[in-house]
Amino acid sequence: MKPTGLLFLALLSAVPAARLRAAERPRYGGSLRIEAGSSLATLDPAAPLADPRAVALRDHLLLLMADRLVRFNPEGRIGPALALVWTAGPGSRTCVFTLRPNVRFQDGAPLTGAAVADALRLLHPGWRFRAVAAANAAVGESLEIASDEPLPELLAELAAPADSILRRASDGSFVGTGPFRLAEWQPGRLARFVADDDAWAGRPYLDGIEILMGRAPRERLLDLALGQADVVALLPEQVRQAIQQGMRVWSSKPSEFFALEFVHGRPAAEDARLREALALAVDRGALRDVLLEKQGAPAASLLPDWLTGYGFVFPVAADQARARQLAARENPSPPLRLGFDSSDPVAAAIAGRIAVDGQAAGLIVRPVGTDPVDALLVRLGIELPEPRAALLGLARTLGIADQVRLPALASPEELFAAERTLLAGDWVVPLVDLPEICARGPRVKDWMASGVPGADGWRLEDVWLAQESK
Amino acid sequence: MSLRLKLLLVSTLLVLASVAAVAWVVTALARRAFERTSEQHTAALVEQFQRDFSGRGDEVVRRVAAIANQESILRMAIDVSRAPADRALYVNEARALAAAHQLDFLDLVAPDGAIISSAGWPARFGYKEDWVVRDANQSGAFLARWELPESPAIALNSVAAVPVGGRSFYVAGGLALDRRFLASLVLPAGMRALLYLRLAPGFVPTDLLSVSGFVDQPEKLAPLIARVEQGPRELRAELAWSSDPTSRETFYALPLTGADHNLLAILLVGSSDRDRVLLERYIRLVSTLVAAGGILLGVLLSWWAASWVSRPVEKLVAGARAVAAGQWETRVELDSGRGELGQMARAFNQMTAQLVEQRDRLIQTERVAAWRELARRLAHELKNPLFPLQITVENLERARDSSPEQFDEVFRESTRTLLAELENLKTILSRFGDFARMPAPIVEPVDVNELVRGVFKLFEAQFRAPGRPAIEARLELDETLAPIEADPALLRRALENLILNSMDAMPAGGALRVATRRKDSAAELIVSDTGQGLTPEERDRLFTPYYTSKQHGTGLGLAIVQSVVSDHGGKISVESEPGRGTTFRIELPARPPAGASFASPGRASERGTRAEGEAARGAGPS
Repeated sequence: MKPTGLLFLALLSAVPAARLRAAERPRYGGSLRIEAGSSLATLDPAAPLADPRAVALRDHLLLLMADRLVRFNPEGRIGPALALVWTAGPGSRTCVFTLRPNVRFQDGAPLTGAAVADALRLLHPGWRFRAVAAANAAVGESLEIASDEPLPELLAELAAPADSILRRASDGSFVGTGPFRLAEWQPGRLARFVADDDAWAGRPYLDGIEILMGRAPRERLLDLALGQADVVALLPEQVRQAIQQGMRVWSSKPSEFFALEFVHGRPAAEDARLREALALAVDRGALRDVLLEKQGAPAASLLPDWLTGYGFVFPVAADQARARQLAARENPSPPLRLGFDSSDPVAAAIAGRIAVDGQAAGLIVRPVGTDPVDALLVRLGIELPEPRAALLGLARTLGIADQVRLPALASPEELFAAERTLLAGDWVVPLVDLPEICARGPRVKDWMASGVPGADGWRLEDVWLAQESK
Repeated sequence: MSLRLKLLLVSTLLVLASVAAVAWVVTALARRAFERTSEQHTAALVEQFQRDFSGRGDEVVRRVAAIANQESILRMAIDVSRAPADRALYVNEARALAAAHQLDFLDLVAPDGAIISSAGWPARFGYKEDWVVRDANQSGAFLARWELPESPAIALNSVAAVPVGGRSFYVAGGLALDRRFLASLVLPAGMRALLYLRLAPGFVPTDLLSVSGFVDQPEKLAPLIARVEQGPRELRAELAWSSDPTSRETFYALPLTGADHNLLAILLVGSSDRDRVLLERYIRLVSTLVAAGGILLGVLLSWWAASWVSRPVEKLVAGARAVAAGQWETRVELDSGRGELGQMARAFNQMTAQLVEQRDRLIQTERVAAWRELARRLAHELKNPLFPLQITVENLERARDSSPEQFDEVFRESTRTLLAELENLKTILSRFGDFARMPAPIVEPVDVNELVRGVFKLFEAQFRAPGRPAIEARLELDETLAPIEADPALLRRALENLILNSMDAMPAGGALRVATRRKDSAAELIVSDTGQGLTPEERDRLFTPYYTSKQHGTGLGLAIVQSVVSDHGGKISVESEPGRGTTFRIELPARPPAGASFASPGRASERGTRAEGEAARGAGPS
């Protein structure tokens, strides 16, 4: 072959390679469409939310539009965010944060110590705040947070997405310092964000994000298949179908778990043998393998194994024989009304299976959607990637915070002991850990979310959309 | 009760009985017709149910077979048969398949009997469904019980085996026996079908289903269901939902058993008795109206017929009563001359005519006899004095012819004899004249006891008269006896005659008892002797005037007694047997009856003393 011919061939082969490289290069523009199953009535971080799925969704939205003073990195360590430096005072009763300079809210207002104090005061009314003006423009203002009681969890709490620094604009909407600005808010239905060109961390690739809330699972999957959505939340039982359809499925680390919570004062729940029998009867493996289609993990501990490393110590295997023995002593066994969130299909499936397992052990378990109930199938969220804070948060959620005492720097052994204390008596029976699961379409690029709850959320500031082929 | 009323009652009862019988027959026939119709409907419904049941069974078999024959099921069976198999991949398969094939229940079961996927209870995956493997060889559909989260269910099922490498993968599907199933049954008007699902021991009211939901008052069907449960067999029972008869319903219970012949459900086909009851009511109403009309018409007709029949009878009765009252000339004239009643009237008239004729003849005969007796008695009475007169006159003639010297003496003697006998004749004639002139009673209050004592005192000397055997006489008077209205002179005369009669009856002496007694408001006077007594013939003729059994009696004494008693409205009776004495009983009313003829009290003084010649002579029984 002549050299000219070889050159022609070399040029010809280089064209697709160049086009391929161009296609994988991040690009600005485009609007990302996300469909979530949960609904959110308000973005106000001070508003209490019972459903951990809603909490998780709110955390994601807050992390799009706002920043925290500090944040957890994927490894669970605290790092700087809006605060560059912080200095704890004696006895952990005070801490002075030096704010990042030249940061502005999305409405143009500068980030000041007073603005941060205003944002946090609503969340922590017991804290005292004092803003200290910056000596010069190159250094940000300082904010001192003080309390009469020691604040060993101060940084962990400030790293929680709920402690995002928000400011109410003149029109009443929330504005933050994050990469996206809330452009439209339809409670429970739609949240639309647009990129903030002046974001201190730089403009994101995406021009906007549109989040539809409260979409049904089947519709979400269908929309994704039809290209009408880019990212959709999945139920565990949809994972296999999504994979079979060629969708890319992303799972977070287990960020929530199902547990049985017996109700104090109810006759059936007060029976320790019945509680133990039911705890032994539940086949957690079947829950995980069949109902959750191998998503998540059987759990007998409150905190997931990825967070503590000792989760495997808690036995997850069912012991039907022992359960039957215990149930046989209660002859006849009193019927146990098991409450569950009837709007949650996963909860309904798990409750049904618990009834079957209980029946096999000789117990009468009736899943019901209404009060009165003897036990509840609860879905609990892991909001922070720090074991001590997460355990205390769970204890507070379960109303048993008074049963746990942990030092500021608790060792794994101390955490394990505290958790065993909380689980003693089988009043709370963890069943199965559950991750957050999403499927995304082919044009979503650089989805780099760590999946660590409370850390970096979806990290949509790094995501870009591929050009759709014509 | 009159004949007319009797006839009326009889005819009315006949009408009532006829209408009631007709109503009963019509009601019974209607009831039977309804029952037959109901039975036919029930049988048709049962047959339809069995046909539907069989058809549904075939449909279940076909649908389950269609699922089992799917390529995906075969792949699943192969996949599950491999080791290690991930059965979780198929946990949701049954729901979609059941929905696609319109089955209420569908289980995909591994060869070991473990549920891979369940449409009815998805959470039961992994647990054994024993009956699926056990009943996999059933050729057709069969009933079986499905365990569900809320409560068990009964369904018509089929099991299809998918053979894979020497083992079988099972597809078990079913259609529920529920309200939809009941709704699919086409029922005639007035009928309904209920379904009792035997899900728990004992009767559970909520397990009794109807098309519209649960059944009101389900406990009323509990006995029938219990009877079917005791021995699964078809039964029939009637029950009432309320006190209203139209609420009655007849139920036909059809037991539905499973493959192992255990009772799983009971189909109850109810047939309302409402129409039948309403028809029976209508029949009763019509019958009542017809009966009322019939009775009214019957009463009118009966009244007319009874009158038609009873009027001649009543005339006959009136005629008979008139005859009984002595009006022997009474005749009965009937409009209907023919027939039995006409003959009876003619016979009646003939009878009365004969009675009148015989009475006249008897009167004539008795009159002749009486005259003859009177003549005989007169001849007899007059013959006795006439014979001495004849002898005396003949003695005078002989004395004048043979002994003129003694003629004067004879003449004087004969003259005395003649005067005596003539006086005797005069007395005899006077007595006859007195009887002919019996006066009418002159009533006044009379103390009967006092009157008896007075008369008894007059006779005391005669009871112990020398030269004759003594008579032991005693008085037994009832002192409570009240005074009566009577003629004391006539009563005294009657009592004197009875005492004289008794004394004559005891020529050899004896006992005489005179007694009074109160008998209601009347007074009874008893005169009893121990004399020779009377023969029946004598007793019959005792009170006949001029009859006497004595040689010298006139036969007027007891006739006068009877006349006195009769004039006072009283009664006299006699009891006597030969050799045992005679007892006379006189019953006098407190007041003589109206219509009797009485003389005024002022005429009492005109009467004077009436001596009974016969009594004075101590004649025998008269």
